[in-house]
Amino acid sequence: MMDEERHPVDLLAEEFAERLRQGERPSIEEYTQRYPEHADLIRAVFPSVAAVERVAQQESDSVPSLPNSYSTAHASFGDFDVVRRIGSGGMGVVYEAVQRSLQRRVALKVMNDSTSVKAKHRLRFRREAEAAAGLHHTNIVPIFGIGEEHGLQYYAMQLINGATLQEIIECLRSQYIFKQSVAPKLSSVASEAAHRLLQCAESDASLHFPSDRTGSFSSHVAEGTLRQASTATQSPDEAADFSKEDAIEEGPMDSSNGIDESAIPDFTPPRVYYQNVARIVASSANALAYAHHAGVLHRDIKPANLLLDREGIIWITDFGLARRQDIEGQTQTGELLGTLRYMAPEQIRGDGDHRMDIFSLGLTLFELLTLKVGLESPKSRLIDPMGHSRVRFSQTMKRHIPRDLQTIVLKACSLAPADRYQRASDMEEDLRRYLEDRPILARRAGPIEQLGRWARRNPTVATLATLSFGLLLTLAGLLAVWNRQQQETLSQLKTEYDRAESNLLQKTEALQRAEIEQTRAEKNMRMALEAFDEIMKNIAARGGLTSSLEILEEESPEFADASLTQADVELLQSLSAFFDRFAQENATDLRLESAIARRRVGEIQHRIGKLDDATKSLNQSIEEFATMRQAIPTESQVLLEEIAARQELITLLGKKGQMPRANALFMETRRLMESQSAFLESTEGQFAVAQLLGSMVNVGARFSPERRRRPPLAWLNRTPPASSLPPAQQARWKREFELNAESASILERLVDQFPSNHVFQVALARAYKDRVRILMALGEPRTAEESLASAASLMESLLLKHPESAAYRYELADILSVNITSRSVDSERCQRSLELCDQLLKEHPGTPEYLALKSTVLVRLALLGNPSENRGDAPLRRMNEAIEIQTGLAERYPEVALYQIALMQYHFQQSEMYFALKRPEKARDSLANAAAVAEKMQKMGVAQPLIKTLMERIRERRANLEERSNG
Amino acid sequence: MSESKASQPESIDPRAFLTDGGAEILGRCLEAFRPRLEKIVAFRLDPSLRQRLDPSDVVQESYFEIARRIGEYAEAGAVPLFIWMRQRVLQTMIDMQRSHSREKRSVYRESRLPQPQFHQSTSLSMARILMDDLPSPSQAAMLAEEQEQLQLALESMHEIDREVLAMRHFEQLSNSEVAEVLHISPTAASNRYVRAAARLSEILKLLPSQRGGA
Repeated sequence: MMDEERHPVDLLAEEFAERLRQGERPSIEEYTQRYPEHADLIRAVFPSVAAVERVAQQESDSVPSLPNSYSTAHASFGDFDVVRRIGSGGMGVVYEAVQRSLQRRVALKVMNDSTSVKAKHRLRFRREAEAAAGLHHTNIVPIFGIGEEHGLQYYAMQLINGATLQEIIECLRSQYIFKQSVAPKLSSVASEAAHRLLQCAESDASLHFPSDRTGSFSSHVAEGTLRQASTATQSPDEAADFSKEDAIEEGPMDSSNGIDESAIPDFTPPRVYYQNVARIVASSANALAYAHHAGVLHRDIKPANLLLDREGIIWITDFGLARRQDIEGQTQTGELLGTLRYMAPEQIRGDGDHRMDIFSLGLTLFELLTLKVGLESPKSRLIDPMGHSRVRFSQTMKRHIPRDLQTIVLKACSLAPADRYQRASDMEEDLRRYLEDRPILARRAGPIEQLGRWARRNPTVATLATLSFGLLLTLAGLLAVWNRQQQETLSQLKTEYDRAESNLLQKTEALQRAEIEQTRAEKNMRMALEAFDEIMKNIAARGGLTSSLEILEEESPEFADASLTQADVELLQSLSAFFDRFAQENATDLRLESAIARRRVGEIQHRIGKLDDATKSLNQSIEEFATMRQAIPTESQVLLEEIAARQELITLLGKKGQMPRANALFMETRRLMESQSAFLESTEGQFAVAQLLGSMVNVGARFSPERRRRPPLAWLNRTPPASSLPPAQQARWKREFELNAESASILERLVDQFPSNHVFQVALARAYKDRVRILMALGEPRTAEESLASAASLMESLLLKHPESAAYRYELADILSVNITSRSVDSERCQRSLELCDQLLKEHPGTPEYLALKSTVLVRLALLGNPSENRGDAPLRRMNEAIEIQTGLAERYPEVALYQIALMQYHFQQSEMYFALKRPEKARDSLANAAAVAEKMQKMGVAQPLIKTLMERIRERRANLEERSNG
Repeated sequence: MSESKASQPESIDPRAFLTDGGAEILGRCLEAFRPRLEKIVAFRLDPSLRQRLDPSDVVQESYFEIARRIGEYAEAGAVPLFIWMRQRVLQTMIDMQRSHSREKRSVYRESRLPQPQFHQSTSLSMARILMDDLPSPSQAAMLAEEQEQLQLALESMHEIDREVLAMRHFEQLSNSEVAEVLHISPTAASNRYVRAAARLSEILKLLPSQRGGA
């Protein structure tokens, strides 16, 4: 708001934009001349401002204005003199008029231009109106005459002193749902009528004073606006629902109303309201039955066409005036949309018989019962009438609304006309039965019939519904072990499940069950996908300790990912079961999705160490993607999915030690990508290539056979790799270097091209980090140092732009924790890394992955300071701190092998330090601790071969220690 | 974009909603903001759902939520009313879109790119609107391609810059409102706006159809 805080060019641009909006045509030169000091920036900024404003202008101009209704210029029509305008609706404007010849007041409806232009139209209009004029029924507004004047069609009918049901519903809605005073545009007639619907014998004890804290109770009493004597106590909720009772009576703008913020917008009127509604709708049904018998269809039954007069009599108006042709001519007007909301599906498609009126009357009843529109999004109904015509009662509605009335609505609003009441009189009969507390005739469809119907309508969803609900319930429970942020998401999931479960308990009818099944199935799938993403994110974040992880993967490829907790594994297994069933059951309906699900099964199996199963799943999904790709070659989504699956399989094959196969797959995938030239040129294609190359580098670096022959536990002797590698190995590293270079250069190009896309930058930083490892292996520490610096500076600049991003901070801390050679540079980097870890932990205390990184960094720092040099006990202190942190982690997550191994490692290194400090007792203790951790792991039965090697190594050291101290 | 536009309902003390007549005040605010909110929804709405969802329906739908949660807002009152309502409306929109796309079981529902859906669609919304500016419908084929190009280019912008641009121009939020939404200082918001507008000019310049124009 303070202008001085803003960029000067921003202010100028705003002025510039403002002038454009005023219709001026200011030139950019004008500004560059006025403000030469900003000329460059003005030239850079203003063109886009101009472009955007021009577009924005067009957008707002193109908003269709509703057809303008009649001016009072047409003051008389034939025998009728217009007195005033009452309202508009039903494709025309309604006036109050006086019929000169008979000196009686009438309602005069004048059709819109658009409706009356075509000659064919006029004829039809006339015929329909004449037919309607022949109807004589107590609940049908009589038509007095039809005519044409000023080129406009009009007809005169009895003036009803009342309000339309639409107005009444709006009135109730604003009172009870929006908790607002009556909107001023609604007449007091509507308010009165609304009130009358709620009115009952004073003894009914249904109307209550508000009990909210605003003290409106006393003010109401003081004003004496309340008629009801009843003050029976009731739950605050119910009371709140009727706290506006007096407002209805008072009419508009009674500002003394209290509000109750906690009130849930649900309409829970007294029983008498339902009875009044049933009576009104029964009379309407009776009128419809009469008209249908006379061969006249209404075609536009909706609350706006039902009038309630002061005597409480319902009147149907506008018989037979809505025509299909009118609809086509008027798709843009609000009028049509209002009508569309209530149309039967077959009517929207242009056919249908009298049962369309029954459908619409059912919807009207629904709206009266709930104050909510039965069918949403009228525009979409136009496109897909069957898909958007199913009426549903929400759970709260189901609790409040009399069951029989619900059944009547559902019967009347059945999608298929054959499932509805066949005659309006049948509907009336059921409403009367409800009023007389007799059992209604309509049956809800039997369970099997209902499920069958439902399955026909929702083929995909129905199969999903068979998926186990219990499975996902377990899932929600398991998820609860995670850290705070995740727990929040999860407790939401859990609440939803709890709710779904209680719904299940409540179910008594197949219809309800079908609905629950449907929502549940949809929810299940969504949640499974969300849960999967959550887990993967979580695991990916934990995977930071790749250096330690490598040991595990090299040692025992069959072993599950060392960073997984038991909960992760169970969770992933549940999810895998879910995706598996999903893929099986939807293989034909949802091909792409089930192939994706199949891929996820593979990823999960990979994670939890079922490598062979994973291979199978991935191969299967690749095959499915490939088939789809051939069918729709332009679909880049399929190609991307396929590539992702292939990439996963390459890593997997590498892990299984099948490097030749991994290599072959890599080459094949590369060729595949290269064959798609359009894809290859696209940004996402480029990125995919870079990712593929990057993952191949990783596979090579971690799993190639030579690598696995390297002495295990490289961390025990921190000697840098020999530069005199055997030629074959040297060649392999060289190849990896090339792959890495290629990947990095693509990423560099992308970063260059899209300087603000952080995904590319992070990927590039990772590529540089990979390069560090390769260069170290090739014995080129100096260039490795350069790569590390590039990686770090990339992340530094990202972090500078997003100082709030924990992910970037973590990534940077991880990069900086890498040690190369130069002690001073390394320790400087580690110091910074430590600071970053501390910041992370300050913001997210207790987060395991940050703690783990911090302990790693502490250990590295401790080892960088040579304890034998006289530099105080700082290194030892750091080592102790690291062990303390790691012990905490190991205790918190006993099943995460990675944490245990790291702890063992630190104890071991601590013993070395003590040994160097000539404190053999301490050294022995540390070794004993290391051994204890190893034993614990052995008991748990994880990573057996690795543990065995580790224990041997510890034993060796112990013996060595004894020897030295003895010798 | 003038700061005074919002001043009237904005200057209401949130606690007023808790008093007698609070509902009426809320009603007035809702009506006052309605055109702006509809505009925002019209801009943000998933283009593929434009046929099926009407901005005014979305705003209408959100009013339930707003009415229900106004107490919560009044207690906290941390952000200006308009900003809070905008959030509610957009959340409602997202929920409605979600339920619609679930119906459709869209192929694109699971995107592999690790970008929040919302921001991606900002680019799409902007691209679509900017491309609507083309003069002749005969260029339709080229148009689609260009829109894609433009969208990609917009996606390459810094996420926050893009949002700033979108909010300033298409949602017509003021600078201070933008700052409020993004939790950045007004100065930062302003600087980002200038930068983003400059970048957009560059992007527009690269589009063949825009060359020589503007």
